[in-house]
Formats: sequence, structure tokens, C-alpha cells
Amino acid sequence: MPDWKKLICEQVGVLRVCPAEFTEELVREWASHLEESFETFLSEGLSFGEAYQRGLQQIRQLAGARSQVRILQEVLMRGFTKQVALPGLVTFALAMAFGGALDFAGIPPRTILFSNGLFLSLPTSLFCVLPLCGAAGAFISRRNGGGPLQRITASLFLPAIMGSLFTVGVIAGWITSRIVPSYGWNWSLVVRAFALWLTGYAILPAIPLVLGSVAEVKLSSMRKPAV
Amino acid sequence: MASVSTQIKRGSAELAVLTLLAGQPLHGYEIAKRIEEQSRGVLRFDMASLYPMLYRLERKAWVKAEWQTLANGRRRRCYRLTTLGRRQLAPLRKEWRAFFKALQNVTEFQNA
Repeated sequence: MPDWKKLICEQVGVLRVCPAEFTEELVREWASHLEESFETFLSEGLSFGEAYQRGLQQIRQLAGARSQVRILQEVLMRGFTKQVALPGLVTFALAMAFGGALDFAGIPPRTILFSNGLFLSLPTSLFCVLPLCGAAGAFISRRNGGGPLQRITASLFLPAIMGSLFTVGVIAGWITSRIVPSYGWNWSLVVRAFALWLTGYAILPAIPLVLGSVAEVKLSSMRKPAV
Repeated sequence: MASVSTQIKRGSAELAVLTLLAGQPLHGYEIAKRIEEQSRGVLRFDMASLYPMLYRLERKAWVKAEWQTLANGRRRRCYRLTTLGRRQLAPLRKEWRAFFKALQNVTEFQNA
């Protein structure tokens, strides 16, 4: 039996850029497919050389540019969905649920008024439970095979959404100000509001979330049995 | 129109795979072989089209893959239909029936 694994690794370049956790699985799966088809070719009366060439042809098709792009796209998305997006959504949903519960319990956010008329409504009590949300997201990411980087990234889903919303808001406002002449776009105020809200609603919540996920990463690495 | 052609190919391939998996869990080679056999050689999957499609179905959570040890001791990655995948199958079948009926109507009308 030819060494299909070796042949796949040599010819399919996509494996060099695929995340390590998928590479071995992909090679094993494709090699098992080639094993089966090689045996079928032999049983159909093909010579060893002909069956081997047919196998090689299949590897070359896998190594074709279009197939490589499709494989990479699916594998990367598979990893991203399971290890970042899904745990990120759980983190987001948990934070929202805790926020709602605090609101229901009558614990108001702390509102800070600034002299320039701007304000920041900080849910300080929520900040105390955000590490738990970050840790939960990191835990789910780990269960889905996520490495430390994916686990920490997953915990940053909520701040990323908030930050993106503010950025989109500023861009939309700027475009409107270019179209509507009397829009009254006050750059100085916008920049200050953007910086303030980005800090209050994206950067500050990111800190406890990251702390929670880092704690999960540390704890899980401590629990690993020594080899 | 290239995108329509791609979508038709992709959609029909997905329907074929999901229908097969509705019967029992199968590994990649078996899926390709059975589709070829049951379509009497009209539909053929090479590895380059089969695996990206299986990974796409897996990403959509329509199928789930697990490594299993077969009776001959070999390890194979077997795909099985999930509840979500099973739910997709009936509307997909309906959609394809409607598509073929519409196509038939058009071609019959052209030939009349």
C-alpha cells in the first residue's frame, strides 16, 4: 500500500496553512479515502501502477488551486465558528442576561456626567460578573478545540460588537454631514464622545472579560496531567 | 449565470449526500461510492469536491462527523445526519421537486 499520508502532505499545500488541529485529521481522512479507492481499483483488475496513478490523480485534484481555496475556506470557517463565534455569542448572551438581571433587581448603572455635556453610564456591578462570562466563553471554545488565542478572542466578542457599533455610527454621521450641509457635525464633540464611549463600553468591559478568559486558560493548563 | 450553475451543482450534491446520510452514517469514500452506484455512474464525486462539501455541511451543523473503528479494525471519519440536517431535508426535497417540475414544464412547452 502506498504511503498516502506522505503523498498528501507533499502535494497538498493547503495543509501548510491550515490550523494544526485540523491538519492531522484532514490527512487521516483523505488517506483513508485513498486507501479504500486504491483497494477498489485493484479489485476491479487495475494493476498496482494504474491504481497508484489514479490515487495520485485524486491527490492532484485536491492540490488544485480551486479545491485548496474551498478546503481552506471551509476548514477555517469550521474552526472560527466553533472556537470563536459560538463561544463569543455565548459570552455576549451571558453578559446581556446578567445585565438584564441586574436591571430587574433594581441595581442601576453608575452614571458619570462630564462638564462638556457628555455622560457615561457604567454598569459597574455587571463588570464584576463579566470575568465569569469571559471564562464561560473560553471554556466553550476550549471544549471545541480552541487554543489560548481563540479562547481569549472569543471573550472579546461583546467589546468588539460595541466598538464596531460606535465606529459605524461615527462613519455614518460623518457621511451624513458631508451630504447634509447644515448637519452641525461638531468634530471636537464627536471625537470626545467616541473616545469616551469606546473606553466605557468596549475597552473597560474587555478588561474583566479578558481576565476571566485568561484565568480559564491558566486554570485549564494547570489541570493538565503531567506527561 | 455561472453562479446559478454552481448553486445547482452544489444544491443537488448536498441533497444527494443528506438523503444518503438519512439512511445511515457513512464515511467519505462510502458516500462517493454509493452516489456513483445509485446514480449508475451519472453522478461522480472526486475528493476535491466531496470533502469541501462535507466540511461545509458540518459547519452548518447539518451533519456531524466522528471517528469510528469499523469491523475490519480501520478508523474512518463517519458522517451522520443531525436533527438540524434532517429538518433541512424535507424542504430541500420539495424545492428540488418543484425545480425539476418547472424545468420539465419549460422544456415541454418549448418542444410543443
